[in-house]
Amino acid sequence: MRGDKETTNWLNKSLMKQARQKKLSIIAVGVLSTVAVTVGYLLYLYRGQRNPNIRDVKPKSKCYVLTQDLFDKIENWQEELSKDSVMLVLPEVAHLGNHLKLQLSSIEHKIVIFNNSSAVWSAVRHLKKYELVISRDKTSDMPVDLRRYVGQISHI
Amino acid sequence: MANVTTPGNQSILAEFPYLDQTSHTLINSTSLLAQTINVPYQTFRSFVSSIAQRYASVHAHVEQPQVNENFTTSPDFFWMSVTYFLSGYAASCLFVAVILNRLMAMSSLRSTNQQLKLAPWAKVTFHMIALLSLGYALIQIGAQFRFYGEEQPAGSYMSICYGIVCLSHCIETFITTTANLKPLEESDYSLFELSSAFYQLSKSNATVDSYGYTCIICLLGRFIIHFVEIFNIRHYRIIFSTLLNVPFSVYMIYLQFTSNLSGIGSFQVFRVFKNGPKILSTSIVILSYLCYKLSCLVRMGNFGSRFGATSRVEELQFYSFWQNWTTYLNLSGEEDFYSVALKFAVFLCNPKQARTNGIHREFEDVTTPTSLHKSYLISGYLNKVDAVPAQELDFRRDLRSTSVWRLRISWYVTMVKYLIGWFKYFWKGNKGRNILEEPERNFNDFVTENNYVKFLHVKDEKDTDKFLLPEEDYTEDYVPLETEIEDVDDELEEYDEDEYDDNFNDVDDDFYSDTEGPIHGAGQERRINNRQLAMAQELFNPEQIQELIRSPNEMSWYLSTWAILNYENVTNERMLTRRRFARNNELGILREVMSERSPKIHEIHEHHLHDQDSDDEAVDLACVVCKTNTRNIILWPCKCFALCENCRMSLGLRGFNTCICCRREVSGYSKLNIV
Amino acid sequence: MSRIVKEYMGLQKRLQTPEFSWISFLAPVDDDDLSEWVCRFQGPSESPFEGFELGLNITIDLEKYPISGGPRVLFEPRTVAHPNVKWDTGEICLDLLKDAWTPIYTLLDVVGAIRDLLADPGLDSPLDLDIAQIYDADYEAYVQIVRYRLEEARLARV
Repeated sequence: MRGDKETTNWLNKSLMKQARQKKLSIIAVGVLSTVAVTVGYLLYLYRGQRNPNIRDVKPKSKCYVLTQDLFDKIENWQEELSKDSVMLVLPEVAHLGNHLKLQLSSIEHKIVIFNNSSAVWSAVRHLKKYELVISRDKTSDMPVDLRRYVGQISHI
Repeated sequence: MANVTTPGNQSILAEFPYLDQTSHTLINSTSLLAQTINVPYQTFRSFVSSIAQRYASVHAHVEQPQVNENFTTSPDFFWMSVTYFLSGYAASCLFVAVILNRLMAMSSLRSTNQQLKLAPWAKVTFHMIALLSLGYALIQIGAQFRFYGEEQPAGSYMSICYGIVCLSHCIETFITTTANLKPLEESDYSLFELSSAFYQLSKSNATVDSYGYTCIICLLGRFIIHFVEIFNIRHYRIIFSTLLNVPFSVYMIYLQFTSNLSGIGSFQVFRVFKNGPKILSTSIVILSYLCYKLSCLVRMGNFGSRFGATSRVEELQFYSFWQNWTTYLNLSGEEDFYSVALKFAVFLCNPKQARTNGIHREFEDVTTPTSLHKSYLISGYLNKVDAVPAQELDFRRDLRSTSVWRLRISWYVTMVKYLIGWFKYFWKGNKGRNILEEPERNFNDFVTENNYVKFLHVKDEKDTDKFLLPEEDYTEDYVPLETEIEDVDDELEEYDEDEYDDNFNDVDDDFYSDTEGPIHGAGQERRINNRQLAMAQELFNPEQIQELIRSPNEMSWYLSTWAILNYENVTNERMLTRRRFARNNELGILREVMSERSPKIHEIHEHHLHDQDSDDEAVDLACVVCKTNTRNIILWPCKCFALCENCRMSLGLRGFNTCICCRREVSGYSKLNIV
Repeated sequence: MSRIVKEYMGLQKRLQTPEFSWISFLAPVDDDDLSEWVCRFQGPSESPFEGFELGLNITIDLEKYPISGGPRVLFEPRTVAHPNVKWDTGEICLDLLKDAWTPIYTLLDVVGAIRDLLADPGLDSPLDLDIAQIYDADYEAYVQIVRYRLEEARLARV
């Protein structure tokens, strides 16, 4: 009889011990997973910041939005457009665009003449060049979200 | 119940006096045993008297019913049921039962199949005894009814009657058992029933009205049995029984309705219980028959078979039953009316029995679909369809496109036409019916394998309308105005047959060279030449020749017509008929047909190589998916034929639901056997 | 013989027909491995792609082709500006490659369909919204932009 009592006591104690161990292990796993998730998320954010997709692969690619003002300001378009760049000609200065196309026949594909001014901004968004060169007076016409699609806006 | 007289319940008892039955007890004792008998009895009594009171209150103007007929509320009824078993009737019933049993046992034969012919004297004697005694009883009943003679007291008459019936039973059983036949029974009135009925009637001093009819019908029934036994017309027993029972039942009904309708007493329990089932069954049978005949009437006639529905009497489910109901009921003619009526009614009304015999159809609660609904399948590609789906065979799809009003109007018109046809049918009567029932036959039915040849040719050319196969043209040839060429043509035809040659080219050349020389004159030659030239100029331009070479279809056409033109030209101006051309140019036509066919095969081959459908087989198309096996799967309902068995299985397992060719939904497939 | 092998075998002959003269070549990268294919074809006439040669990279899952799935086709990245093409990756949004694929189609059909798509973009499911907007608003500008991209790509190849 006494032996039985002792064994039952011992059994109870061991069961309780096991239960406690189980609890501890569950808690440990929970903590570790939380830590891992947080670290991973931070890393992801960091890496995202590191490589934003708003920029073009080749640095310093330029996008010119041609206005009369801009046309006057820059002299040598041949040089400007010889690098990685594109010129978007607003509808009002289409004649200038044609003129430039004839003038710079070797790189005429870089000059895009528009009939619709809203399409110009869509083109800017699509092209995702590093730098957007635009004259100051057109800044107000720019849609607000354009900053997301270009890295840098130079107002001339 | 006996001692409930508390103040609160006083009013209840006053209101419902029948609840208080303490005055009526079966056993006058206060012991517990007595109470166990008394209490149920009193409960029953209170129930019955409540009903009786209801009736009494409703028909309060009617006088009270006679005590004699009102058994149920008197204590005598119960006592009588108990004392019956101690009476002489019961004893005699038992005794007769023992006799009958011993008779059956001792008189039966070893084998059950053998039918023995008894000596006539034995049979006649015994049956005559029975008949005579029955006759005596019947005569006596007339006396009981006070038509003639003197009346016996009811009790003694009934016992005599009962004795005679028992005797009749014994004789019948003995004779039939010895002859290895089945004894004819009167299932309406068994011995036990009779004995108990007679006992009650005699105990309650019933009038002849109560017991008279029972005795008559019972005695007459037994009389019929012996009658048919003597004259060996057992199979006519049912007829006699019907003749007896039907008027009797009618009379019973008449009596019931003319008697005192009010009160529970006028309802003769015994009478009703005896005749009720018989009458009910008969009425069911008659009603069913009337309904059946009505539906027959509606269906008969020349309504034709429009829209695929045949309106024939044979279509009725019970038609086969009513045509030979004797076999369905296993009537041998030896039954009595009561059992037949019951069997008949039960058969008509019993769905299970009718269903096993395949007569009655009941709609099931659930309509199980014959095929699995397509939503249960992963894909229609796995659902094999063995026959063309019904929707494909539905050629009346254009019905859906008609408007509702058009359908309605057409329906009305059809109904009017039916009505007119119905009237016409009745006007014509039986004669018209038979004529109209005959199916339409046409001349083709008489043409068989053996005699069709006779129909092909006629001796006399003028009877052209007798032909079934007018493929040959027996009309006169068209003769142009130049009639001097006739005899020349005949000569030419004879000549053609001589010159018939196997070689196609040679024939042409021979024609041209041989016929031109000896037959045609110079003038005709010139004419022919001109004609040829004209034809040639008409057909061919130098520019067209270039086109001809490039387009193979036209080339073959030109070639074929060139043969005809050539031939026509050669046979001068007489109009060329198909008959002449075929007769002389059989081989040429054959070759032309063959050449026509073979470019098609060649084209298919080309097309296949071009489409890369199959590199192995020339004519068989390969499956579009694997491009290896031949196609043998057709999909329903789009009927696209593009897959092989393996690819179908693969597509099905991947869960495709649309046809890969036409993107229509696939409900099933069939495997074609390409030979 | 599997379906892709059959196609491969019959391809040479079919490419020589005038029907497919616009394909410069369509061949697996490695003759032993039929899972990677490369195609160069001329842009469709009467489209901004006319006169330019475009490149496709085709990947075939040999287990699934042709029943379970079609080939994975991508333009060479950063060459094609098209409402249904993703500029950065060359991904093509074409129903034939996704839900409307049936085993009936072959590689030639796919390439042909892509060529037709270049001429007629499907504006209800654009991958490149900006170009789609340009296409809608100003077709001439669209043409010029496409040509700009193609020229740049051609110059880069050289």
